[in-house]
Amino acid sequence: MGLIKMSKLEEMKISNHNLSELEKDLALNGEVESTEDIVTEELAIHFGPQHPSAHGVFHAIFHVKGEVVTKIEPDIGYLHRCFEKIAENRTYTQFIPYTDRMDYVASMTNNWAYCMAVEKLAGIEVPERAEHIRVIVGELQRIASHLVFLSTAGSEAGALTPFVYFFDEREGILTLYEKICGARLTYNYIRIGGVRADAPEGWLDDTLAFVTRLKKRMYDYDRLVLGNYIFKKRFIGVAPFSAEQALDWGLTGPPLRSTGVSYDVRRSDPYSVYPRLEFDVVVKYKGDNYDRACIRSDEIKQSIRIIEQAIEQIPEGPVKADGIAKVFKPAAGEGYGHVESPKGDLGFYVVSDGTTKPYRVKIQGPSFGNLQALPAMSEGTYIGDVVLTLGTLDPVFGEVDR
Amino acid sequence: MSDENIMNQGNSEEISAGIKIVEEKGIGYTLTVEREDLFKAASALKEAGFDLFLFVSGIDYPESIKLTYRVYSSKRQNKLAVMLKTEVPKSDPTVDSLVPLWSAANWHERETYDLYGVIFKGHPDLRRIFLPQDWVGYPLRKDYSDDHMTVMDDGKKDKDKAAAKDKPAAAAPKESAEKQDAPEQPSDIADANEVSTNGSDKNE
Repeated sequence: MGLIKMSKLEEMKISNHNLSELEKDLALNGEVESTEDIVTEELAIHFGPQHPSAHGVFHAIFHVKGEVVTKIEPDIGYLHRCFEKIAENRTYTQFIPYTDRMDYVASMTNNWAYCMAVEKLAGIEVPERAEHIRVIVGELQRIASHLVFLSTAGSEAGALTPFVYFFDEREGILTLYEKICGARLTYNYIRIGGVRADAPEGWLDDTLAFVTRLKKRMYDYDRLVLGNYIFKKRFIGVAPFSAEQALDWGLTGPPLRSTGVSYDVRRSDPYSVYPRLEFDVVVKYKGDNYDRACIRSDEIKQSIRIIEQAIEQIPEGPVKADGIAKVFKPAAGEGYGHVESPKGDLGFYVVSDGTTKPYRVKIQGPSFGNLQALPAMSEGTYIGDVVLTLGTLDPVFGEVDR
Repeated sequence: MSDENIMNQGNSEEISAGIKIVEEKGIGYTLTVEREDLFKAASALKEAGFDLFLFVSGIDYPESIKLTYRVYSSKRQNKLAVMLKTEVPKSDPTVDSLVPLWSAANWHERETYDLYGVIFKGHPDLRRIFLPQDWVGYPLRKDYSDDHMTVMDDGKKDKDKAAAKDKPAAAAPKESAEKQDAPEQPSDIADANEVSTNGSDKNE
């Protein structure tokens, strides 16, 4: 009913002088007969920078005509800390904790991408066991990040119950992280040449027990959120994007794969032990908000598959390459390492001039690239849906602004 | 699948006439061009199937700023990503914008303009993206200094190394002496000085 009223309002042309009359009519009859001489005015509405649905400090100006958004002017930079400049004044190892503070919902993959870039720059081989542990914690991180996505996507559409369930599950992952590295949010666990320490005794069994339980529960959760009638009504067919548009706007990660483009760094530029693991790159084809939401739920199931195999295959051995000093000097050169983070293609481009500090660190944050498409994606949709579209792009502003 | 292909195909390929990508240690396939040829080379890459623009990065050198673009192809079977490199002199840091080819270049070029001061010709909306529009200087250049921002502290905050290096001898001792023989100074200001001194020590 609410939706029908909105579309009526949009069709009608509203102006200030007869708004009260219009409201009276709407209240009495549910519609207005004569809309001939009504003029529409465009309004500019500020969204954020402090807004509960803004996923962080995001400021945008929405130009609206009735309920329909005609133009969006994003304004970012409220969380800009210029990590790239800080990196030039820290040693290679010292910069790892800073990467935790970029995509703070998925710190582990940030550590991983940065360390991988430095390893490529310096030509460091990572031991097998460390690679397996990296895959396990990396995929756990993907699950945690996608759980946060599903809970916030639900709550933005008015469903507050899933929030509790998903955060409870995420708590399980944070507890596992706490056991392996002592931290719950900013891990600083993946180090250049390996990981900080081996998994404690029993940790792999705990992880396996956790994913086994989650695997069973995911089907209930799918029905709770993605199968919900209201959720479907709000998400299906809203803000669709074609593959051409998605590529043109530089989307990566789940938003790109929801349009039918199978770009997943784990497959297209394989790293670590992913070539040896069986999993599917989840691809959807409609590219609307619902596909962007479903794809994350399916990726959680694939991540569970990966974790199960990695735990099965993990060999004994060292977890850190030998001979890497805390302060080390890679030869002058360049290194580019990227991983498939929960948000998309996360890359670090590190340039060395042969000293103990990087000459340049460029951070390619997928949230930045994805957020750029928001205006193209949601112009022409209802203002109430823009927040959902923003949610399905899943930007984290620590990474957008860096 | 694709990684095996890459191995089998050798380490260079001619994309079109005169445009040859070469494998480089650490970063994969690379194409280096003069800045006048950038748009032409980028167009050739786009035509060859590189349809996803990932980033542009500046690197500051004393005489020039090097630019590195990364593009990815969703269509090709091997050599899926290319680093496109060019260089602009600092005296005239202009280069063609790639927004006509990839809309995604828009924000990335604005970022490089914001932090490096590279001017992208033909960009539809070249404004600063992270920093306020009235910001002075380009922070990621090596010679960037934010001294102008500390004017409100009467220079007292500048007792750190950088300031001492800029104004040798005279300035630093004079300031510390001033601080010592000023007991009538309100205690909160003295505290503020204390804190900032500690902070800069920690950073060193």
